[in-house]
Amino acid sequence: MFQSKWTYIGAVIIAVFALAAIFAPWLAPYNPYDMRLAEQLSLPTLEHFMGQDANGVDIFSRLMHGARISLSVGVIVVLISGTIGITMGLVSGYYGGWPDTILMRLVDILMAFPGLLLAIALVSVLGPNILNVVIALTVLGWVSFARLVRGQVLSVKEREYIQAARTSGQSDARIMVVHIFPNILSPVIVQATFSVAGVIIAESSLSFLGLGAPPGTPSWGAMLSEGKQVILEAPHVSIFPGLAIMLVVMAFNFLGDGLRDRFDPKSTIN
Amino acid sequence: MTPTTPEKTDTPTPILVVKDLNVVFRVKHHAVPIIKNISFNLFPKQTLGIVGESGSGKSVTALSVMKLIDTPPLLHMTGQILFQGRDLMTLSNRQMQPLRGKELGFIFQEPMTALNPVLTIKDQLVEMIRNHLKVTRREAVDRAVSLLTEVGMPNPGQRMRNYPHQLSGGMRQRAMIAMALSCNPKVLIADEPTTALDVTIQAQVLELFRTLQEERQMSLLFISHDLRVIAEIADQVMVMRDGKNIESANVDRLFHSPIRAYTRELLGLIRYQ
Amino acid sequence: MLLYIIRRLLLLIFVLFGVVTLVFMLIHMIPGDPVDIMLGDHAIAADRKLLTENLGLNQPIHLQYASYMAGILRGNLGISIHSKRPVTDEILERFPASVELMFGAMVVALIMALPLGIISALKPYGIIDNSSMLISFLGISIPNFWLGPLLIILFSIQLDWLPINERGGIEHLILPSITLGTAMAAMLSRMIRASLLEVLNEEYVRNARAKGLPERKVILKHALRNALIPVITIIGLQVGVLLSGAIITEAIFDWPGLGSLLLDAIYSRNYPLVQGCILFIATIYVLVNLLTDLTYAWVDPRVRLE
Repeated sequence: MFQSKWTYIGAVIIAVFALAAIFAPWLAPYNPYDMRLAEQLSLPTLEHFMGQDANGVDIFSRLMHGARISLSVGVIVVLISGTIGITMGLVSGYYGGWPDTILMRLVDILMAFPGLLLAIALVSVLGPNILNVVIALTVLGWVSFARLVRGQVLSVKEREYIQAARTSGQSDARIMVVHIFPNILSPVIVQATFSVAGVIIAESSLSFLGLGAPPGTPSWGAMLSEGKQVILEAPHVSIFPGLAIMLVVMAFNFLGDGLRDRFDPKSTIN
Repeated sequence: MTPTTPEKTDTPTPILVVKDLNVVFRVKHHAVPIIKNISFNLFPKQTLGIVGESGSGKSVTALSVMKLIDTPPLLHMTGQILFQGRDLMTLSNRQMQPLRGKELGFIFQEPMTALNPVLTIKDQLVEMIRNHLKVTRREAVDRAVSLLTEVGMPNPGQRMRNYPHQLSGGMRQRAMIAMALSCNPKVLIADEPTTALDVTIQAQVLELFRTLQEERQMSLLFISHDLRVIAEIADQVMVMRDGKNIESANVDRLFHSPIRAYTRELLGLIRYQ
Repeated sequence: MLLYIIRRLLLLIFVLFGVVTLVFMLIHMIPGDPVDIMLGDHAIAADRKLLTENLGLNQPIHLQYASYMAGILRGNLGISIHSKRPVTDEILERFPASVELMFGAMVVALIMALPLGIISALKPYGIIDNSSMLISFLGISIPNFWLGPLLIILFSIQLDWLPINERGGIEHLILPSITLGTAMAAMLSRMIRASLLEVLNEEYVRNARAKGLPERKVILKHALRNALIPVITIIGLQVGVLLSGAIITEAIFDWPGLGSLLLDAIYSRNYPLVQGCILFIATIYVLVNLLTDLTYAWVDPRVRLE
């Protein structure tokens, strides 16, 4: 009960943000680059119900456009890193031997960089822009998919139907794609859902640190960074972008948790 | 269902009386009766054997006497459990604590899981002794050593310092028995204490139970799925199936002229094995 | 056990070797001439030549790698560009502030997580468990670069209870520690709950009750001791989250630790210092993980005495 209700809420929140992101150019009440310096830092009013930032730009409009960046970076990074990770995990788990050894040692090395450190390092040399953020977060992100898939493949590949497919002379690639992959899809979907949440936080963290979207871009992280500079006189500038990030991230976490329970009833104690 | 009617000619009052015990579990929103109207008497210095297949409710019966059934799954529990005339059913968890271990000893089936893996045998014995008896740590340690000697643990001084996983199955069960005996309980409840052991060790441990009961003049509630084990140790026997008392009688009568078909079936099983 | 330690140490050496290699490669991943980028467009030729030689960029790449490796083995991480001081000195100077912050965060996390986790496990699906579940979701989802500003708005600006910036007495440590420790608390409380719930079903817990021990002792001595063993691993992994989260937290509170040193180095394109910081943080993390694994093995007698 408790679980499914929150899963549903998560899905609804994601849908609302996705619609806002897609239709932002038409739905947003103002242009997210339209500066009105005379109205800078003005508090929420009827016309600007989240107020205006240090440049007098409507915060609500910027937030809607920010959703485009956050959600698309989240989805794109998860798609690319997921594809790379799944492929690596399938190959290394299925064949074992030296491809597996190399992969696992590479994973060991990448795992030595805690959290965002590797992404920060990469963006700091490649230069701060959205493309490099995507690259850095992909380098960071594929590892968890590869580890997950490898582990799953190891447990699935000894099952009888896989052995049967092998003895019937099917190609390795076909066995991996047709027989193994569908059987390990559920945990991969759960992982992907949690990963979107992680990537959205990571992207806004980098933007907050000035290592993501260039200044002026309506990115949630960058908005928070601007908000921090005026926190003493205008706290409202900091409140709304943070709320947006938290809502979206929490929604994906709810969804991931709900999916995990649905796919794996054992994980809930009842 | 008629309650047990033991031959009351030369026996004193029972030390433990269970009357109309009913235990109901909650399984997926349904109330499922697990124990149905069980009654029995345990007399001083005697052994009552409860026998039945797995799922017959014999372990739940044993744990009910200790009031050690977790909620959930326990939904409710009714009837009377009279220990020396005092109804345990009315006691709170806190009021039960001084009785558990002190008056009512309990031995679990699998000592590997029943002993705490991160504490030494010494820790676990001393803790139990000092919980119920007013003794110094030194005295408790000495008592632990003599208990381990009594239950036939080789090298007790040295074995005390071991963790459970370092002992063999037989030694673990001996440690478990020593623990249950450490505060001289009047009633010892043993839930399949020999099932997890090798056949040769089983015989030794069974012999140990007989000697200990003799020397310590305890009452023993002995639970087993194995009629042969029951035949060796029990004075009275209660046969359980699906949470019900199928038949109870003294051990000779039960083995020579069983009334119920189910009892004959169980007996038949051991004869043809 | 000894074999396990040796194997773990060998893996450690390999990983550190890989980390150094990756960090070495960073400076070669800079698009364009790193010296140009570091010194800017208006640098004079002599300065450029000096820096190129100092960084060894005029040498073939394998020689650069060899001398970088040799330097690190001697604890030499190079020279910071602007201050001209050894990178190692600058890092060691800032490290205590970061340790203080991480320690504060760890304390905050444990103070919140232990009681919440234990109560939730004792009364699963009760009011406290369900609210702590919701709070955990919040704690995991709330970005610390938002939580920090929120705490500042509430406690420093509105209530004026706590100072905003800089390192100082314990009152300066409170808000940064909460900011950094909340996510860990959220994670940890759920882990403690799950682990304790599992242990509570164990026969030895029932046996502890059968021994007539008071409930407090059953939970705190018999159950919790076993339940916390797997949690140790989580705490070790969470140190990584702290190390990385500290970078952001330090930026929010102008905390003079490693994180702000790294960020300043990035903003001023001081690449030797960037490399040094990243190498140092990764090494600390790897060592903490080793220590965690060994502690884990040590506290569980089933592993220790194998």
